[in-house]
Amino acid sequence: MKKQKIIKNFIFYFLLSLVLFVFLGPYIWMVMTAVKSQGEVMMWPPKILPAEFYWENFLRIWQETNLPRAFFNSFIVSLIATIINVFLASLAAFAFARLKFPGRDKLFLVVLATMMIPTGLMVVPLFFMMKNIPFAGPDGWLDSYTGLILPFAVTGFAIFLMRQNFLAIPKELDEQATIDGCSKFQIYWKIILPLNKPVIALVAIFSFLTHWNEYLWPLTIARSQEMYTIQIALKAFQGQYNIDWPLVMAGATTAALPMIILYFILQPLFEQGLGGLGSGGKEL
Amino acid sequence: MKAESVTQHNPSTRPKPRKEFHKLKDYTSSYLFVLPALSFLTMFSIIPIIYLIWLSFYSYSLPSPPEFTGLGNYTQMLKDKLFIKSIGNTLVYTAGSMVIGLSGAIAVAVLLNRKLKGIRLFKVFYFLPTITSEVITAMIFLWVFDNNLGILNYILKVAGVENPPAWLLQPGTAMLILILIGAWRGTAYNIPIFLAALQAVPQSLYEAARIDGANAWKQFWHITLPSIMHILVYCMVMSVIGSFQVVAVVDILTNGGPMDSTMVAIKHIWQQAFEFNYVGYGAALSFVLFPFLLFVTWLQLKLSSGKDK
Repeated sequence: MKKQKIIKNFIFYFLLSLVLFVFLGPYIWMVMTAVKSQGEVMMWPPKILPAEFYWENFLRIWQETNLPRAFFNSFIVSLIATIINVFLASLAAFAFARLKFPGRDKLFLVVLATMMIPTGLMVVPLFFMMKNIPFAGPDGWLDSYTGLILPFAVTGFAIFLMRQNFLAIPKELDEQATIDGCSKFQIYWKIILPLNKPVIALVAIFSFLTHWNEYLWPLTIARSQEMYTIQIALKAFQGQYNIDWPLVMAGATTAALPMIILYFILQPLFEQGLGGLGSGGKEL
Repeated sequence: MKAESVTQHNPSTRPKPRKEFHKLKDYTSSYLFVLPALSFLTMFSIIPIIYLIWLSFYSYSLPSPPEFTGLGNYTQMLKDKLFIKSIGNTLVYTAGSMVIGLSGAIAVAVLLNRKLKGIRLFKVFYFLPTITSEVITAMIFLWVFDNNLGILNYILKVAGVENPPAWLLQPGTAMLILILIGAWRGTAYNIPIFLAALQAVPQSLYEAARIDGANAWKQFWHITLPSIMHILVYCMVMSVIGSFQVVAVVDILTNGGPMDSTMVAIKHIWQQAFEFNYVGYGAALSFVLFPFLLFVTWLQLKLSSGKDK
């Protein structure tokens, strides 16, 4: 009986490791290529581990390419968009969840409707709107932080998710606070926000991640190298150095690392959030 | 809802003006809470759609101003072989990556749904493909599938395959690679969702089935699958919406080739509007896809809100 259990467990671990290899193998290969010299990559048969770790590629990324600048751009864009989204979406979610005013539910339907719009189909009209924005020079907001940040900053999804969570807080708290002479904004700021830290953090992480990984919109409006975000810079860089695989992989590693580190630091949050997403965000 | 907007005083007594004024002020501050977010959504979601519809009836090539063409762009589409092909390719990609991605995720979630030492660690690592951008993912796989130096063909050669295929240079295999990458990402994304669904299935059902002598396969088929059906449908819809907008991976791996075999919908639109400067046509192409994706998204919202007990 005991022997059977050991065999059974062994089979499970074997299968789990197999899946692990499928998901992790490509990353390991990326990092292992990044720490080889170009000469070594050309050698046949390929070896998993490099003969000696070759850090030069990472140095070249920082000194010879425009990736550092793109990094900075992505960081600025993701950060500002995240701050805007967390702040404005939580204000709106608060009103939709806790306040009563004429037209509230109709307006919330509008928010839900904007969630249905596929971003990929919005790029054409948005580009020309950005180009023709009044009082912003001949090219409008093209090739600017403003144009990169604003269009996808506030998401209906964030409002929806936060409202779901705000609804779960007992109404008595608001009533008590009103009696104590708190304004609506104070209720939002001192009661609702502090009690909903997990969902706010989740919205923040997802906003940041979405903007960091975004491809189509920056590709459309970033016209000059100075305004490339990390994804666009990587693509251009890959076209430029397409035979220098170690350098390309070093670039990919550098771009992937911040998000991977963030993911491991904020592990519990991700775990909470994702299980809930499938059930309409109820269990966040 | 309507009752809220009617003032709450008894009609037989005259309203106190002060209270009326106070109420109005009350609402004003409530509207101020939603105003900023709603202005953003109006400016960047609602107005662009109206503008998109307007554009789709015009012939517009920079720098000349737009010219009205009526349904010209729409009749153009029927003659555009590449448009038909891009829709076909997108459907093939969507179906392929969805089927593999969902079945893979269910299989892995079943595997993860047990108490073993270190199981959490596996779960943590399985999620990595989701947080890595499509661009980076595509670059890694471009290297893995590389013709001359790719590790995959080396492994195949060692395993005794004489002439491994030039994966990205042949129409059939290029699409297959795209589908596999989509499935790789999709599986990773859906694992935690299915796992949460599996953990919600009451254990008593399984115990009863075991007493009836049902084997593991029967248990899965008659208990597990029906219990996670609503989540499965939800993930299907999400997968369709995501796959239909695939573009970054295609740009890096194949750029739509070989022989347009991986030309997908969004890439085709982008090319028409921004590379060939047929803005009105690009708008019309976008607008044609709208009803379909809206329907799918509506379905998804319906399904996810219908589950709230």
